[in-house]
Amino acid sequence: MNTFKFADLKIGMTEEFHTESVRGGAAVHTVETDALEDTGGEVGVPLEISQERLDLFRDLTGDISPIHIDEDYARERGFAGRVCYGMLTSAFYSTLVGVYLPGKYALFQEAHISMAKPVYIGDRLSVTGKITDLNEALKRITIKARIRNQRGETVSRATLAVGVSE
Amino acid sequence: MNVFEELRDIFKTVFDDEELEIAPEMTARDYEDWDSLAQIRLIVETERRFGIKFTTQEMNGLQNVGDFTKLIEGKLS
Repeated sequence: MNTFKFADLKIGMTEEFHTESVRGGAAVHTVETDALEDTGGEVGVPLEISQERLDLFRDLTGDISPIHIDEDYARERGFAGRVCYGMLTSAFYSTLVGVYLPGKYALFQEAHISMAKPVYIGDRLSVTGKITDLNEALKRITIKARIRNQRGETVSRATLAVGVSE
Repeated sequence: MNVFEELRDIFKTVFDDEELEIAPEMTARDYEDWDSLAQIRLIVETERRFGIKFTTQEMNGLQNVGDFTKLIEGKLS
């Protein structure tokens, strides 16, 4: 986990982390903090959407909308299969903020999210975030974030506001 | 530019309430949704609209809408 405090942060600062999830298994992640590379101020987190994750989200939230849990229904609606919950995909913004950018000293305040394309079981996602504004008086940062699938298509865009401890 | 009129529009935007009216003596205690996060959003939106920046000290000294209006006017003059 990163431990950036407000004074450590800069617009466009560069960090990158990799996380791997195990297909068909529990949400097992390995974090390779030694694999840093310059990506122009963005943080990347490759992830895979599993059936287990959809089912866990259903159980956690009680959202039993058939588009997420019924393969046949989803196909009748014109989708390629069960559609991942948009809020499940969006939940990775929480990981971005709370673990990577800025990490430990974050207080997630706002998220404005657009769910641009459907996400399906087996999709591998990468989450990127870039600091675009720092408010010194409020000790608050703005992050432009984006989630892409394995084909590089943007499936979600967000503007995040985060308070950061001094 | 009428700062008070602009500020009223900022309040309406931040609280998503077209009926909201403000007064110089109004404080956070007078409006249920005016919590600490709303205060941050008010500051951010005001900075953006007027193209100004506040300091922590300036924000801590604010007592009501009237103080806020005077602070903005002072920065614009």
